[in-house]
Amino acid sequence: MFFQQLITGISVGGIYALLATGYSLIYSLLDFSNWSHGEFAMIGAYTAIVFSTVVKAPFALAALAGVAGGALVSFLCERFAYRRIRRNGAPNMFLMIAAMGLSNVFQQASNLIFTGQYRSYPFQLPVSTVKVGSAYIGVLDVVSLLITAVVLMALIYMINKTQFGLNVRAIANNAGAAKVLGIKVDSNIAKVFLLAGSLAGVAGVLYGMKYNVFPTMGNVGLKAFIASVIGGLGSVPGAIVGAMLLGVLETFVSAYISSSLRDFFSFALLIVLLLVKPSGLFGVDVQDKA
Amino acid sequence: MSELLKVTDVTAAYGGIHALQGVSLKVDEGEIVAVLGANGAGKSTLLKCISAIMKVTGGTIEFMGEPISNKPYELVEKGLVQVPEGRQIFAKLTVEENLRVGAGLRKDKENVPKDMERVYGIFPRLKEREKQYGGLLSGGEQQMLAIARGIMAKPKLMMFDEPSLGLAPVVVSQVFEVIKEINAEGMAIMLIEQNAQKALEIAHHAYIMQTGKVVASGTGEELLKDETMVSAYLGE
Ligand SMILES: Nc1ncnc2c1ncn2[C@@H]1O[C@H](COP(=O)(O)OP(=O)(O)O)[C@@H](O)[C@H]1O
Ligand SMILES: [Mg+2]
Repeated sequence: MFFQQLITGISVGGIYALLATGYSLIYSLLDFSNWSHGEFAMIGAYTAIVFSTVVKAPFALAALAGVAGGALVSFLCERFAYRRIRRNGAPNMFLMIAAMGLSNVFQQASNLIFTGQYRSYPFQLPVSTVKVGSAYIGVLDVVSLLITAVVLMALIYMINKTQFGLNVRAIANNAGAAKVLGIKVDSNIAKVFLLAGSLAGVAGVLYGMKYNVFPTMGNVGLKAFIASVIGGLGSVPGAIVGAMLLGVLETFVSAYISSSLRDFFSFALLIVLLLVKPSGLFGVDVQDKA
Repeated sequence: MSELLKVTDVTAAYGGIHALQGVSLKVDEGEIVAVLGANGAGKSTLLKCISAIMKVTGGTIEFMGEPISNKPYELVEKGLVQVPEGRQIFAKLTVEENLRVGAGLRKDKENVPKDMERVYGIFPRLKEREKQYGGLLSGGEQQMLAIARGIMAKPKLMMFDEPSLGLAPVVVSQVFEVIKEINAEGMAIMLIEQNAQKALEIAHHAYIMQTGKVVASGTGEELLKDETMVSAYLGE
């Protein structure tokens, strides 16, 4: 039972992590929490629904379309809303307000287009379980976990080992210096929105497989946001650890205490952590001496 | 020798403040050119204009015979690189990563490891601290890192904005030694300084600025001899 819950918790945490890393990446570059980020998961999930039901594409293709859908809308938000606000030199608060507005628009729009009905993918998803020791583990959880692990490892590699990742970290650290040194700041920001949006798309499709697809499913973004704060806003590894902690905590609370207390414990963890370590678990502070 | 940078009659302003009021100067290949002037003279503003961080309101800036692009990265690609005021190293990246950012736009990636070794040869301290965060270095080491990062971009002209600011006298001497050294290897240098004495000692040419204008120019030697001029404009 314990092991079973742990796997479920990590798999839920994985979905949070796919979103939390996006919050962190964007926060690290622009110093604002992109409140519309959860909606990219919802948009990804619906894109996959449309491709699998209307276009009748095979599931793998529909899932990829979902990822692309999340990426595209995220990119467009940056290109046509956030970038303009940044150009005007408006305070970051305006970015956050714009993001809240966009979030609302996306939820209402999907409500109009798809109605509030719960939808699921027209495929036989694996509902079977595998027996590991004395525990039964859902195949879907394992598949979801593997996909998440591969995607997150690719992300970490990209951030730490490629010139793109280096440039992004340089912009996050000192955008002015990065620009002077010839880093294309706007184009890297756009790429990060594409990247974060596609991670959200993966999260949306996986979430839709595990639960259902519905207009307010993007609210899962709030959990991911909490996870990224727990991990230390702006830190990608922090976001992943924070997400895993949160996923496991929630699953155990639901299993052993009560599922109605789940969110209470999530916020309690957040508040306790902020009291003990306000910069989050991975919130390192290396200050310029100069 | 051929002309690398040519600034003609450049004006620039912050709102109503006319920070540059018709500045002309040039840097030839292989030269060290010093731009001196008291605080507020417009030196940094001139540098911002040359590196396309700030728009000019009049005049022209040419690099290698062509008007400069308005995109900073195109300038870096062409070989116009700066070591900015206050160093501006990446505090949360390691020393090695700082250097890699500097080399980011280079087309000849295969030569980057070799240049990295060369830079570590010039700055052995940086090699020792390769894996440390830039923010943990001392002020002098950070200045060295900023210079090394600039070298990694393989510039034709490297522009320094007050590299001696806030450094201990011994370290200042080291910085000027390094500037002479990389110039001897063929890189042209534009050196913005308030430390006139030191800068004039190594400069081939120098310009003195005051309130947005060039008020005197000459070879380093000429200006060094002309103490009245230097003290009049630089208040030393
Ligand atoms: N960001 C800015 N906004 C408004 N005025 C500025 C700004 N930066 C510089 N100035 C003004 O422009 C003039 C030239 O400044 P600057 O180029 O920094 O001089 P220097 O580098 O020679 O000390 C000064 O009068 C300064 O007050
Ligand atoms: Mg200055």
